[in-house]
Amino acid sequence: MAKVPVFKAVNVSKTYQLGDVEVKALQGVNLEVYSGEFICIFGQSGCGKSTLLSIIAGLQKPSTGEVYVRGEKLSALDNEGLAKYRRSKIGIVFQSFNLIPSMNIIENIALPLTFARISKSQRITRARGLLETVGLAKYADHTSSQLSGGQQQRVAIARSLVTAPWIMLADEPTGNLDSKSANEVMRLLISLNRKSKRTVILITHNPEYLDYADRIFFMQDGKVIKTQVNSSVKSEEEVETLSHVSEEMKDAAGEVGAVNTGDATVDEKLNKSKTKTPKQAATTETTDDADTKAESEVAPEPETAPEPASESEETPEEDKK
Amino acid sequence: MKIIDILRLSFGNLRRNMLRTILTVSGVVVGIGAIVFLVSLGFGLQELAVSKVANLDALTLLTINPSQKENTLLNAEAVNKFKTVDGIKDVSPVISYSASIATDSDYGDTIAYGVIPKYFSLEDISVDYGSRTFSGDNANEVVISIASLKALKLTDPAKALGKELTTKIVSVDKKEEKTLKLKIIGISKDTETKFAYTPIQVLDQFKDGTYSKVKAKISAREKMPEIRKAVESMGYPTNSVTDTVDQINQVFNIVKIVLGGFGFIALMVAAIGIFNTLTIALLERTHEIGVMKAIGGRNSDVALVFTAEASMIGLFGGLLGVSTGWILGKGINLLVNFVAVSLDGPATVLFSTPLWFAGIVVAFAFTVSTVAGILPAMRAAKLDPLEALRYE
Repeated sequence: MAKVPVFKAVNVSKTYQLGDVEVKALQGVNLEVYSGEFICIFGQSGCGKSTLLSIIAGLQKPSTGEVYVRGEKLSALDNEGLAKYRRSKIGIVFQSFNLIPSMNIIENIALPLTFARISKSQRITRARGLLETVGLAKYADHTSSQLSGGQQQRVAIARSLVTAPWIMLADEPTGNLDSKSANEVMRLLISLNRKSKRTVILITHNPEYLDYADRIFFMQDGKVIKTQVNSSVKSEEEVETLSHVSEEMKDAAGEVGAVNTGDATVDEKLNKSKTKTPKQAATTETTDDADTKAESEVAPEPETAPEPASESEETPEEDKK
Repeated sequence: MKIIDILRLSFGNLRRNMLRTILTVSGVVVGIGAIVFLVSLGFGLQELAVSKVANLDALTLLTINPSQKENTLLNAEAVNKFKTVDGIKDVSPVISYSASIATDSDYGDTIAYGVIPKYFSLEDISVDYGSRTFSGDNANEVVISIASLKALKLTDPAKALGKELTTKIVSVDKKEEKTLKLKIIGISKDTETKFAYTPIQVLDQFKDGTYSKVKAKISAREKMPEIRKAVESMGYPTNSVTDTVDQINQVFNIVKIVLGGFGFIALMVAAIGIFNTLTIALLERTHEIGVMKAIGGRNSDVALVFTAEASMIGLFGGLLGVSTGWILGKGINLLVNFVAVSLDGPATVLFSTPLWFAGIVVAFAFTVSTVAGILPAMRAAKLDPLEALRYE
């Protein structure tokens, strides 16, 4: 029991007041996420998954309950503390990219470092390195409006990585992308998990992605209705089975060559998810607290994984490519 | 965020909305320009008025008058006491009588002053013809103004110099009259004031040992009040041209405040403009603020970026406004002088902008703008990150 979860949500509820109507976005959510895990939070629109992510990201406070980050109460942080938490402990990727249109790509990527009071030359060097990693080096001086959706999302991922956080929160990162771009982005996220041992929490309503997760939290009506553990997860290379991945992206991930596992087609997977019968062997029909089994089945967290980098720390090697 | 980054970001934001920034800055330019233009006119007119009353030397000159009290005579003993007062550099006693002057054919009057030689430099009395140096302490010589010579029909200095005047002085107390023969050695072209200076020993015919007044030169203008206090505590009333200058200054200070007030109103309107600009910017950039907060921007970072934008508008507006007001003043001054000179009038300096005033005005514009930016900045800082992110 020595392991402290990266995230632990205890009985988290969130209630909105819409006029006279009380909307229960989250109802008593309990979950734990361990270091190095790839987590999918899966559910239809309005199931509360984005609300859950924004609470984990410290963008809003739960109505009741508590979120612990490596054992520390998130509610104990003041505004300044939350800003630092978002800046240096987590990287957030949004569905709508959220790049700042008045800044060029490099400035966008470097912005969190600007907040962290890193010198201009240092942050530009760091941002350029990451831009190269996501394969967009030549777009450094462009603005976001000159980039395609997929490119913007890769820039957004580069931005989320710039302070070298060890936790990635991605809220429907492929929601606004065509399938080719979506695969590039997914491959990047999976690579961050597999190669850099980052903890990734992916919010999605796309069942295609579930096979890449170590564990899946199924959400409905503000509750986690089921937790599924994947005994064997797919590697980033296998993203290619979803559809074509550009040469550019292969280079970006540093891996060339597709491995076709002959896995189920997209359609089959979609059907599976509709009937809610994914990989039976590894499924635990649980809600809320029954995740001890899941914990034991999760690939142990590599103790070698570095701790979350503080603002001033040197960035991990992986990011430098 | 580092200050340099806040400035970079703010400047970038201002540049992004160039037209709006220019319009907002223009508002400040108009306000500050009006203040500088009008108050500079106040300063210019004030300096003009003061220079008509007194030169700079006169401002360090104190006139000590005889006391009304008994046993407090303005005599040699008193003069020695004045010399010991801290800040008094030099003293020069003066005796004066009203005098009648006459040539063989004509008759006039003047005021005769008995002075010591250094009095001329002390009072900065210029002699335009001849000399102001008496040949000796007892020389029967006189330095006289054209105004005094008018009645004697001796307004041509060439003819007047060297003439001997029969001068009669009267002592009211002793009911006595003395007649002197005085040779004109110097003439001042002053056509307004009647005066005639002779060596003090020459005029001291009644030997009563007191002076009409004592002129004291002080070391610095600023010391005038305390020196006056010291002298007056000895029982001697004083006066100084600074009294008049102070009155002029007082009037012009009010004039400047009124003139500056008009400009201030314009600046207040500009401040509302800044407030408005930032409020609109806040609405436009709400989503951007949400993004900044979501990726780790502090509330203070957001607030500082907004405040810095307001401050920059104030600074640019202040600098441009001071330049505009100054150039406008210079231009109008040139125009006025052009007309004046073409009508044979003297060229005058109507506008004066002291550097310290320009500095204060720029600082003022900066402060007012910054204050106008604080409320929108606070609102920006307090935006809920999630709501701001959802705002489109």
